[in-house]
Amino acid sequence: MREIQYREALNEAMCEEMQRDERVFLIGEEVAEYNGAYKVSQGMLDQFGSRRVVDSPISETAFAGLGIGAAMYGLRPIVEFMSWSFCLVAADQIINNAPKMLYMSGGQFPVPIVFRGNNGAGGQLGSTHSWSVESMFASVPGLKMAIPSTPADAKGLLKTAIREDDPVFFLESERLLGFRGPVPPVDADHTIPFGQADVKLSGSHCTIVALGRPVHFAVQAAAELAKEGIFCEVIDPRTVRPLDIDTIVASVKKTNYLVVVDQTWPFASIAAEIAMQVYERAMDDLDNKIVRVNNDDVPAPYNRTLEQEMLPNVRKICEAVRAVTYNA
Amino acid sequence: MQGFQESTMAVSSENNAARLSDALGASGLLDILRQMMLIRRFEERCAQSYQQAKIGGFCHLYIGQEGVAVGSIAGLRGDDPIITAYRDHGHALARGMHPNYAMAELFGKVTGCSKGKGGSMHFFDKTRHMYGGHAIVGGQCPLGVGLAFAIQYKGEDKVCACYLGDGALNQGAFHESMNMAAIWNLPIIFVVENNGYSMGTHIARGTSMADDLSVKAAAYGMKFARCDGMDVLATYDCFKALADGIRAGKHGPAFVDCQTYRYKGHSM
Ligand SMILES: Cc1ncc(C[n+]2csc(CCOP(=O)(O)OP(=O)(O)O)c2C)c(N)n1
Ligand SMILES: [Mg+2]
Repeated sequence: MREIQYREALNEAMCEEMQRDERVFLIGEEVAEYNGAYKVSQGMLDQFGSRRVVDSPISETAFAGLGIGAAMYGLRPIVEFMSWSFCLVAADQIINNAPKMLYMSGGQFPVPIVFRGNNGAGGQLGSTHSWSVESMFASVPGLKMAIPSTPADAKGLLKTAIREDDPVFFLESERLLGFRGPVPPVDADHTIPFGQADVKLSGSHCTIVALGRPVHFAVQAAAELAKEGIFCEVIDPRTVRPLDIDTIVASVKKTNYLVVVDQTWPFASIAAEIAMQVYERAMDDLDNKIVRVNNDDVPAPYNRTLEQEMLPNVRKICEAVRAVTYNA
Repeated sequence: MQGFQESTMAVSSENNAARLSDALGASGLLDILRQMMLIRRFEERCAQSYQQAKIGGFCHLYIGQEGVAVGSIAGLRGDDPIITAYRDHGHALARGMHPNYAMAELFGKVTGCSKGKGGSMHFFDKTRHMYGGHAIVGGQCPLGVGLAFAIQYKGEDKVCACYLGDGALNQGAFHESMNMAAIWNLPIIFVVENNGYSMGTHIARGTSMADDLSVKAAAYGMKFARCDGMDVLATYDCFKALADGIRAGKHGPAFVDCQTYRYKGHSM
């Protein structure tokens, strides 16, 4: 299969869906004439023109809200946040308006919109620019959330997101934009359904669930641990809302151990939610408590060493797996 | 730009009139020159160190805009609080931060002005009344209003200078802040460092009435000034007059369009 970058996969997904559906348009800062601050929308202005690829002023509240209004009127906007860190300016629009409109209007106004952009730390940008927003927003009823970890998932999930009738929070990784991986051919109309986890590695000793960039750390950790004779099953749920808890529970019933890796802060995190759901459904199958690997409970520091240390990493995952499987 | 010419003409036609900066004297003028040169040399070293990967993350250089921070800060009192965006090295140095303290921050050291936690975009210096570099566009505006509110609350005679880029003119936080400063007559000067661009977007593509920002002030009934930010003494004159005016209760908050230019890219 051909290999393309994560950023190219996102670009293909948007271009294909815009060709397919005239109602789809892209709006955000620097998306058109500059070809995207991170070059995700490279070439799209040339291809689709300024009616459908729209440069916005630095006005997140207005362009996110504009997208919601346009969606209520029948369009299917893709709203790019240069970084999810900047969506906080538009919090009222994206969490109060988009996900609740359908319910609040008694089913009259669906909001088919995709909010997408970079999520996650790792580039020494300091705490204001290093948000991982998944745990902050996943609790809001009415939205869907995807966190692709590979180019193929980025493309397949984004195409699905654009066709969704509910608002989708699409969390990309700036650190992975240049990452290459196999992606089905352009004419394959490659979509991936939401709520379907991907088992990255099979193993019988311990289940590791990870999302987004940490999936790669989990796979590396599994390779390290295999050398010690600990064989891990690595699961990437790919979407948080909906969450494929069935695949996770089935794996835990096989391995009897679970480590959850999550690039958000530990309190009320995605990892906490997954752990709770597993306790509710498979408590008796666990041979030890569930261990979480989260960010440390501090804002992201600028200093490189401190930053790497506060984020989930391969070493922390290995330590967690060893700690949880000691009684095997 | 039209306004740019206007202000240059305004200054030259007043050539014979006394200017506030006349009182700076030789040593005051030398200080100003030294500060601008320090910023330029410091930023050149930043670029070098960034290329050597000693500095990480985003790093926005102030090269080209030195006259704005130096001229405006010289026109304030040393204990007037200042607050700015992420392009903050110049303000810190103009406020008298030792360059070692600034560079240590960029190197992520515990000896840096934010103990290596903040980096280039998040310089803080409480002793020099610098309330931070703030990296979310427009996010410093409400904080500036808060500083001014606290000054008024305590009955002090200080004036807050709140710097922002031209791109921040399009954030709701800016407009809400302008309105509040106006209705409560807060001691604050909003300083637009108008370098004509926000990243790749020319001001005219992103901001209404880009060639006459006085209307932004007029909308809130606020005092307006335009100054040539490439002329450090004109900038000094402008800020000295405004800060003194606010302090003396002659007028309320002000909004200044400082016309300037960044000579380097948006970020390293
Ligand atoms: C709310 C928010 N949106 C987007 C960004 C990304 N961003 C950082 S700087 C910048 C351009 C700002 O331009 P301007 O205000 O003119 O300041 P300048 O860089 O010219 O000093 C943008 C879009 C951000 N930091 N915060
Ligand atoms: Mg600018």
